[in-house]
Amino acid sequence: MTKARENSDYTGLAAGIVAGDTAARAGRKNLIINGGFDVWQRGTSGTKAVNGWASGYIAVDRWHTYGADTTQTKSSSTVGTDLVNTLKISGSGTNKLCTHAIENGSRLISGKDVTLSFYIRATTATESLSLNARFGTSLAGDSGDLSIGTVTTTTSWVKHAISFNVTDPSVNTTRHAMLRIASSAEEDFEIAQVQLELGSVATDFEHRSYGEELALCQRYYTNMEYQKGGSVLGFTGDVTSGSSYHLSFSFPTQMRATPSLTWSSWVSVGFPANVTFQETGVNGSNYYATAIQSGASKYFLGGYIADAEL
Amino acid sequence: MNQENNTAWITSCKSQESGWLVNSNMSVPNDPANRHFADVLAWIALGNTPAPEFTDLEIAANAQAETNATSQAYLASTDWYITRQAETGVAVPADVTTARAEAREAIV
Repeated sequence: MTKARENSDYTGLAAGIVAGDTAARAGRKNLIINGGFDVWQRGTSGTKAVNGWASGYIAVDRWHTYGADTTQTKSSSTVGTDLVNTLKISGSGTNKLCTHAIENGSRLISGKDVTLSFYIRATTATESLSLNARFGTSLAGDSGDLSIGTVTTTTSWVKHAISFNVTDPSVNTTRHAMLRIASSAEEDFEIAQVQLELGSVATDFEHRSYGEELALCQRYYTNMEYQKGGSVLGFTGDVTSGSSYHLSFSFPTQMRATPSLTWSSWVSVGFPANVTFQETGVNGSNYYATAIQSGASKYFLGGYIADAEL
Repeated sequence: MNQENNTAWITSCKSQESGWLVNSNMSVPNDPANRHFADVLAWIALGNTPAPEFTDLEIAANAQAETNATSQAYLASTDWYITRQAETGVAVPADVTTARAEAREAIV
């Protein structure tokens, strides 16, 4: 039999713990989703076609790019003492603007001391990056840029920590907070381990498992294309030409809003390549296809993309 | 910052029962919180007109498909008359013979 431990057993240990240690190790402190750049459901590289807020999620989950001819690329590097994934922003275009939206983040950070920390390096030259916050009901925001600060990069990894306090002029529970990183010199840069936390102290980067981070990202974008891991939706059976066959499915997690849905066809016999989605909500959808042949063992198989990003 | 273009990605748009079919493969819901829906509204505000859910040709094709399905189902449900006649010599009722002929005629 083992003696149960008592408080007195921890006396020496407790004396060695300082408040900073506790804060540094506390979980669920990072308001940024995919700040470690581990989740890339759209692919490991993508290039923006046109300037603007549309079509700006091109590769890494939850990080939007604004300027045309700007490329996001997944990379890895030893940062500090850790081998980590990084986001490289490159390309010939202007407006190298990187935005991360915190859903309903207005009430979380408006008027409070918060701290942004990240590693950054410029891949070709030293440059100046401006950091801003915006608030609003869409990614573009309506508050204008609220300056957080400016950092000057080098070609080596440097950790920056900036504490700030900005106020949303229309703070409420449904407005979003946008964090924006912009290159003023339009040079390429690379960032890693981005963390935004309440308080005026930058603590250690919060590591989350890949599965946990993926689930957080899937609230905004879910890639279930058949190429990504097999056919996830489909139908097989005896059918009559002209008749429609309906099925329902659930998303892996409840989505932020009713998503846009894109069918990813793998193969179809007796059915057209595309299906029709209907009755879509935040938890799932219904889809159907109309047979173009009659007979046994007709089928359509594929997957989908659900997009409810901000 | 250069001129924004948030609708250039939309090359076609047609109405659907509960939203819009954009670029022939993306179903966009009527949800104000969905950013693609906002783009569709902006695209319409620029003077573009979404196509109807079904064109005249598609409406005709759907009607024909429904006729085909109904006719094929009727023929299948009355095939036993033909089998009975072949095996026992009992005649197929005249109204059934007439209706089967009409069903065959209707199938395209």
